[in-house]
Amino acid sequence: MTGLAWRKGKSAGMTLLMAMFTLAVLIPLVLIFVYIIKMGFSSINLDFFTQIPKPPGETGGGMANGLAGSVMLILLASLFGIPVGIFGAIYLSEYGGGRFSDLIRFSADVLSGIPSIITGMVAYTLLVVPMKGFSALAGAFALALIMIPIVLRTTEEQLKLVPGTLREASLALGVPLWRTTLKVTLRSALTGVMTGILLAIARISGETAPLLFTALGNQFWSKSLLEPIAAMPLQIFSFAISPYDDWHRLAWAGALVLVTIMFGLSLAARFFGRKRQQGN
Amino acid sequence: MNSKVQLNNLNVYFGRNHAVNNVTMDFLANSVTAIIGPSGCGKSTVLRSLNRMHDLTPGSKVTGTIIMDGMNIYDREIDPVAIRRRVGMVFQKPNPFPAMSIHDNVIAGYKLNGRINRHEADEIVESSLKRVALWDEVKDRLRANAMELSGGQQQRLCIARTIAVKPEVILMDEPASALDPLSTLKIEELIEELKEKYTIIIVTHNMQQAARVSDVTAFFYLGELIECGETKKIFTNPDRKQTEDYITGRFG
Amino acid sequence: MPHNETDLIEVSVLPQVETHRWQLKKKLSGDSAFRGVTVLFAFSVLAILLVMVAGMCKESLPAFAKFGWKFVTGRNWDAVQGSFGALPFIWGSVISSIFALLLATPLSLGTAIFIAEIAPKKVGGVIASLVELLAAIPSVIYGLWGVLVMAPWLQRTVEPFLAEHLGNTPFFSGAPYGVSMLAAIFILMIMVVPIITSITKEIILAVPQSQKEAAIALGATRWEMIRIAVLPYGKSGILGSVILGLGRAIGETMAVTMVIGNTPQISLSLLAPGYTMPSVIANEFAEAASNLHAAALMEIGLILLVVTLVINVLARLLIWSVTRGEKEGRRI
Repeated sequence: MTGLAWRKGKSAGMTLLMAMFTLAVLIPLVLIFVYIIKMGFSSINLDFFTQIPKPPGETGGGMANGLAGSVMLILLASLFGIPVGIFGAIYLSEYGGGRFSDLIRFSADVLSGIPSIITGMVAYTLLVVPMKGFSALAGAFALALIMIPIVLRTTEEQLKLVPGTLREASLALGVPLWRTTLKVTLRSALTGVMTGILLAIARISGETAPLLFTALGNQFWSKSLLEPIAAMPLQIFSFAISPYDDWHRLAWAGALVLVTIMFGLSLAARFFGRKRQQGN
Repeated sequence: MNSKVQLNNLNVYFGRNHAVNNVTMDFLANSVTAIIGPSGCGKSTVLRSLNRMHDLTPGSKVTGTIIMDGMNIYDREIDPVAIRRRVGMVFQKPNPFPAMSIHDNVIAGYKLNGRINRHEADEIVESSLKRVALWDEVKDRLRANAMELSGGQQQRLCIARTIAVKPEVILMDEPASALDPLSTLKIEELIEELKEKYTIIIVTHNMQQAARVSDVTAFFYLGELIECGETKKIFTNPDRKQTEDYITGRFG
Repeated sequence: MPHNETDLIEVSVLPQVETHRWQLKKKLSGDSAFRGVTVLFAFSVLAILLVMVAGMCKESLPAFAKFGWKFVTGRNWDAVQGSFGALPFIWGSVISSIFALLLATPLSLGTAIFIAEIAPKKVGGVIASLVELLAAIPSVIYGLWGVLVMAPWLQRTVEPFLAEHLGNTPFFSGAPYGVSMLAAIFILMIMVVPIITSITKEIILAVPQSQKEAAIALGATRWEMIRIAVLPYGKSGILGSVILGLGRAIGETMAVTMVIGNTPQISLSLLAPGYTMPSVIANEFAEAASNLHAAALMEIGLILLVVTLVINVLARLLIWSVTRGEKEGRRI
């Protein structure tokens, strides 16, 4: 074989290898989705959405309390996480510049890289211990800590994209900076900011570790926010590691619902993004 | 004619950059003053000092006084927002608010600051749009998005928006440079009419425009006021050689 | 002539419209209050981080005081007796993560190269989206699939094979359990691939066109062009992405907890169950037997925090140094 043919052959061989690697990477994705759908689909029924889990040994039941609990946790987390993220971003974009801003950005980046179980430990220390008990509040706080860096960074990016002339037009009319920021700048960046928020929500809806010792989980319905509360990921976890087949069945169904919700949120986020581009 | 705005020893710094150097001049009421000069001579910087836009530029510093109706607008006690209600600004590139209708753009100065009675709003919109000769063209589509207008129409809309809040002084930063010749002409006609009621200060790099439109012309170079006087005189018989060189196109 | 008092100048045109007057700052526009609010919120981000680190240091103090450095060398973890040595978990984290990365890196690189240089643009885009999908799957769902599908499959197929053929080596000794270090390695590998792939893909796309063209002009084959022009240019960035993946692997909790077997032992065999730092925290923290137990778990958390922080900073520095350069390069 001539040198060139050898080299060409090698290149083709490497191309084949890269293709096979890519296939190897995609196979688990396919497998996971196939299994989730295969194992979970049949369990999606009205019971799933309306009933709480049955005790081990009994069949049937659902994950209604987990679904409701997750919704509650996300709402609470957003209540805290979104304002902090947005107003912090407003500071960085409209007032910032200088070392303090860099420090804040650095902190946000660091926070986003911390394993979520540690976020749970912090929420435990700050809320569970003083309150002497696990609670939905603590769980929501832990989730908010995960949300904040995401919302902060995406909002700042979006605000910076708003052209300076828009701010100037408003300011030149005698509109104070704070009104300009809220009613012109933020309004203009709104769809992009919403996209970031949706992505943050999609992310925390699947988080389990931070809830393990904050929200703790609940077999039944919670009566107050100061009590432990069920959440879908927590239930999926405890059902999956249990020895009961029926609970396994529920876990798969829960996984299917969870993945569908997350996928839906991401699609909505992408839809918002495209709508903004059309609007411009 | 009396003076509306007086600059005394105005200096503007951006960090170490001394952009405007010791400028003292008067702007006469109900007249059009043109500020001309080559690129980078500080014309826009001087203009923006008049409505304290530099307050929003980090690292900027303004010294000296700018007196309007007996008050130094840079006095510590005064809120810049109030100044900008009395001193309006029209920008080089038309910048109507893209998410708002034509109607809402005109009264944006009120809407963004709170609520306004619908009846009053409609009156203000109509009178402002009539003053800029835009009313007939848009009266049937006031709720349409402002971005649907042509460049020249958008700029007139921005002028309508500016006069809707009833300023006394209107600053214009090269208002026609992004427009076609026909729109430019319309804007210049508009300026001629507006000076009846307002004091107009216009920055322009177009000397012919300055000659057509203004009563007083100020020539700046490298941050300094070189010469200021009646437009006719500046363009036919200037005192300073630098002015003459610029006018005749020898530089800039 | 300047006046000493402020002038009140009234210009009213329509009734109810506000009158102009020189307004004194003190009454005013709310700008400083608003700014203050935003500063507060921005600062809270920093405050959270500081509280986090400080809080964990304080809470783990009792354990550090009692065990000192023997904490990280001790092999015995017994909540009942009150003796806590964290070595099994550190071992478990290190082994699972490092092997996961050894396997994931070539796969990720190959995929990234395939997406960026080999596949047609649209196909590459689809594959990249699929890889992003992998990244979005929550850890607990990987764990669900891992414990109910992958681990049993390993127990039925791969592990007996390894036990039979390599069972006399210490690395594959012992009975196949399914849940094992091997299972953890595999699941971590799958989870870490998307990160390395997407960053490496960006780095490859950022290589300037001129570099690639130079190689091709010299007669290089496609693979040679990649090997000579693309990979060396993005070397530190790719390394950064691998280190970032390492950080993620070490911090991964749910999926690992569900497939590793949760047995605090140090074994050379990959077929044996193990335990990682996040897993022991996940399993034991809610019901910590004593204050010392809780403090010991906190100390493990602190170790985890410090390790991931250092790794993340290192990774970001490496990646930043590459992608900061000209982003003119795009695929041919």
